[in-house]
Amino acid sequence: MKKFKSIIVLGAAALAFAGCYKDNGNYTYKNLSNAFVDTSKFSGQMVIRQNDPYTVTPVFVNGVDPSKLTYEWRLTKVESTPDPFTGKFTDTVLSTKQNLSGNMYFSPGNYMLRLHVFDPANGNVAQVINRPLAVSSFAMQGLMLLHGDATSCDVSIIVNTKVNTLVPTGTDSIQRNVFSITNGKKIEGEARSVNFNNHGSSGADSKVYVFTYPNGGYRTDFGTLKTLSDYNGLFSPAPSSNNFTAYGVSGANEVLINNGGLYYQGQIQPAGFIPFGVQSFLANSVSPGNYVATPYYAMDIDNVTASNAPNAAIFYDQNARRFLAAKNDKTVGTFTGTAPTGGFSLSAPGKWMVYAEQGFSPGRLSPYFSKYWYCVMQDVNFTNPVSPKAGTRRVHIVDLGRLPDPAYPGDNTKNLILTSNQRGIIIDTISNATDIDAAKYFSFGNRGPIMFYATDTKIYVSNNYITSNLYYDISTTYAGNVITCMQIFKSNGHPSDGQILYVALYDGTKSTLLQIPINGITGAMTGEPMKAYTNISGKISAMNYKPF
Amino acid sequence: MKALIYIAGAFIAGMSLLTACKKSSIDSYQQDARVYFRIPGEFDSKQSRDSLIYSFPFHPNVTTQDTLWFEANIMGNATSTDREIGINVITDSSNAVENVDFKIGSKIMPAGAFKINIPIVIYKKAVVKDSVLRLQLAVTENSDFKLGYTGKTKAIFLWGYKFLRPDNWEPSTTDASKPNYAAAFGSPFSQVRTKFILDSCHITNLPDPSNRIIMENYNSTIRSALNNYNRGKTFTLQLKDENGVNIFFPTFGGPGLG
Repeated sequence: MKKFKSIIVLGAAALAFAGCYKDNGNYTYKNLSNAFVDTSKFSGQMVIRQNDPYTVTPVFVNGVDPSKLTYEWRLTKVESTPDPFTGKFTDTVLSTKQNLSGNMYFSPGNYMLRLHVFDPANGNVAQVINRPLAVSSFAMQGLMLLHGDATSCDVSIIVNTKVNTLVPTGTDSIQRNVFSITNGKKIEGEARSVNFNNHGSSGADSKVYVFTYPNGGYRTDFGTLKTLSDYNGLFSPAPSSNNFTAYGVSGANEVLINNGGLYYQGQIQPAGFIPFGVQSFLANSVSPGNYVATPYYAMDIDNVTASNAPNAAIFYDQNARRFLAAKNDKTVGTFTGTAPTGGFSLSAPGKWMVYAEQGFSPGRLSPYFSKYWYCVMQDVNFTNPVSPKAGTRRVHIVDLGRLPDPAYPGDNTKNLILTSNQRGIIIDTISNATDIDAAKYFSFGNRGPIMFYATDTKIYVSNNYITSNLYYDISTTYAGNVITCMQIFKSNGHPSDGQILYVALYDGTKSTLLQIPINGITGAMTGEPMKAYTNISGKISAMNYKPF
Repeated sequence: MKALIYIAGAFIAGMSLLTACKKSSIDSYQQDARVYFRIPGEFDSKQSRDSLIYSFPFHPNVTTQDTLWFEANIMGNATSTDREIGINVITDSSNAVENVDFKIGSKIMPAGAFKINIPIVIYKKAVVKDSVLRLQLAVTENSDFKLGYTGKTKAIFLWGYKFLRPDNWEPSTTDASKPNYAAAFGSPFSQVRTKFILDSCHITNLPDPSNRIIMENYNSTIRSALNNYNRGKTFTLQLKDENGVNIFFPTFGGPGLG
């Protein structure tokens, strides 16, 4: 045993001496570079449509021999979140070849493409290049158009850098007839509305709704517009008659108006769809106990504060000519209280609603904020049936934001209940504005006081909801066309939010879509060229933004 | 000396490891064959329940008879021959009469089986519309089977010609999270309430109370229907049950559930 210990001590001493030995090595040094690929020629942002073929070919720095290098192309998710479909974190080796090519089978979303270039002759010194790569859905991000005739319609999508935040500069096209390409048929019925519902983790369970009359339409997968259920499948049970007029979504709240009845459903599950159930109803103590909802609603409302939380949407009853509140227990609430000075009572305005849209709301001191709902209203001829009276159009402004409660002056912990008549704040008389009675289409800006209205051939703009100016006469440039649809582009946080006016024209066979860049505060044309997208089959009856 | 201890220890450990790998023949269950009853849950057959309650009004398409099922499970091995299960009607606890109100189907545990579903055919008669029939069965020991698990040797069946209150109508007193009907359909249980629910929802039987989406849908449907029924009526003329109690339906679910 002692011998064994002695051997260990000797060995350790030998190693200690050897460690002090001076190294007079004879080495060859060279400057190693890991700049193999010319990154300046590597695309800064890539967009690949799902299932489409793609190729990425790196350009090498002069003097580099690519054949002596090895490669690894990896794809990872931008966010550190699992893939919504597989539940796994994406970090996949796409290829180990010099050039990357294949078909993009990953689900739509934002990824990072990573190229690792190694030099095996020099200790695998590596160059790593990271580039954002967006996998776009087959039905691309852009402005969806619902167009067709009295019996069928289709969805086409305007894809350009104004509305699509991912495509490279210069991209400007129409992705035509996406619905029929995917489903092998057009949508039965006359076009009524096309809507996007952002739902699920990272939008993975989002849907596109296409609504028609009298068939109803479909609920479709957002990526391809493949049909998931027909109109009756949206309900449990199906309504007695299909007469869709409006659909709205805000967070988990969905409302749908069919045949004058409003249906509410809270989509509280992260994935999946809960069908609309019974039509929202008034308490039996309210008279009249029925209502006929117009196709307009406001969902950007103060329903954050506890007292207002049960409210999902405000809408208008054309039958009793009153504003009503759709609540999340499927009941309908009424407005109460006194009207503000100079304003109007929401419980009994007694007017005919022509059009309504939420728009520009002036700022308020925190914690209060305004949410204006602009309602074009008209007096009523009390004949049978009642009808709107000519020459009486006005803009009624309802503020659905968080407002001080007059019962508690100076106490900013209190706020007005949502169903207070105090919210009918302004009436602007636009009845004297040119052609206002003939106006069929309206759109209100969200960045400044802008009201566009259009007859068959003329577009007017008003900045005070009282007077107006002729904005654009389409009969000059597009003789024989009539306007069929008009909308200011709105998408919160989007670079073009409130700064494009889209106008659809129809010549009896085909449609043209005008894209007019506007000053979001005044509505004036910016001077940027107006773009016309032509040869869109049938009449464009509806349009809406598809964010991904 | 120490080295000797180490060597001896290593030898013993090695032997132990080798013997640990020896194949051991384990005796299979050779106890007496026994049998016990189980009534599967209505909506989840993996769940068990104490009794089965059947109401003919929930089954309007039934004209003359229907069949209730329960399981007989064995303890022990399956055998190569059929065996008879001893099933006895406890007449002291039953008012249903065998071969008049009901008939028990096969009582045979087939060869090779560990479980058999036993049918009880119940007869629908016009003359006993208001009565509730009760049947209590018990395992009786015979030459093939002894009694199984204590507490699982009996099965209780109730059926009647009016709506019978499901045992999970009211919230459980021991488990508040257990699904119940009262949360969506209100309380107390009554004939009028039940019929109003079924008629308003266009259903013939009560849904699975654990399916919150369906319960929410039916809840809003019956609230709307009751609201319409009561519209224009004074409180005293509004919908009442057979005991004169005004019927009210709560709102099922929290904000956002609707």
